[in-house]
Amino acid sequence: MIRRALLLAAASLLAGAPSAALSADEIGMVKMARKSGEGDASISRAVFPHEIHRVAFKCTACHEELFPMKAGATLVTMEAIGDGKACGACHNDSGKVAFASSFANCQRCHQ
Amino acid sequence: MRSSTAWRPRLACLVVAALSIGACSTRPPAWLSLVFDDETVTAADSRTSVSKQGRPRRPHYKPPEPVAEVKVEEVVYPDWSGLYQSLPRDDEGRVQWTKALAGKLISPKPGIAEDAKDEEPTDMDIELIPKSQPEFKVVFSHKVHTSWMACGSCHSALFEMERGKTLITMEKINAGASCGVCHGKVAAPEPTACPACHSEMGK
Repeated sequence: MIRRALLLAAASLLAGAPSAALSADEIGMVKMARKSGEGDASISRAVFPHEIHRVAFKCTACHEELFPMKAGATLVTMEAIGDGKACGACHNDSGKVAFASSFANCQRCHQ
Repeated sequence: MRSSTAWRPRLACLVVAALSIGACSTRPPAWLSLVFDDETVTAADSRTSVSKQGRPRRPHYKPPEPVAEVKVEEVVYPDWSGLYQSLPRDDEGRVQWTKALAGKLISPKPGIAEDAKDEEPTDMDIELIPKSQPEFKVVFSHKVHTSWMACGSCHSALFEMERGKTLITMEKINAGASCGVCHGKVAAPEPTACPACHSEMGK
């Protein structure tokens, strides 16, 4: 026990201040940066929860073909989604894989 | 002098009137069955297989098969949310994905396509032992990581394939580099805290 406490103390000293662990709601939660102007400020920024997607898909399903693993590397717009790119690869009108990116579903992403 | 054909319009009127009266009567006149056979006779008569006139009846009327309604195929998605809620959690409430996958509680697909093929995970443990502090040894499980990702996810942009070529430090990780590219952002170590990777510390 003492050995463990010493190790932990040493580890924290060694590592500097360790970053605070993320909670279940925070982990993997991507909040999309707004790249467009102020015009659509009434529409809340979209979120992407990695966690719920992991139930159905492995990382490889989307990375790196659809989304390179770098925040901000993929421009995600409603136009792109409508063209079947980005989220639209699954969230499209066919509805075969996932709910469509229709007006009935705005708030599922724009929370 | 009257024309010899003057009776014709009158006769025509009479015929039309007679037909109209006939059409309006609730029970079709008996002589109609001579012309149209049994389809026009009353329900009581239609129960017999021979018409009043002794002629065999046509087969009973069968309504045409109803045209199958074109149904819009409604996709019923699995209860992803319910499944997510049911997954095992660590002591801080985070889903233990490695445990969930190993226990086959989930079967995440490696691709979007229906027939997406999964690759066998690479079963190779790498011991990372700091020279000055061997007690902080880390056992990196390729199996755990390749169960979710491809080799190219980390190699060689993050980690050189050649052993010992990439220096991994807690400073880097805490700054969001090296293992910290995922751990601390999208992936929680399992179990929590230091012993998740520094397995000797948990003993």
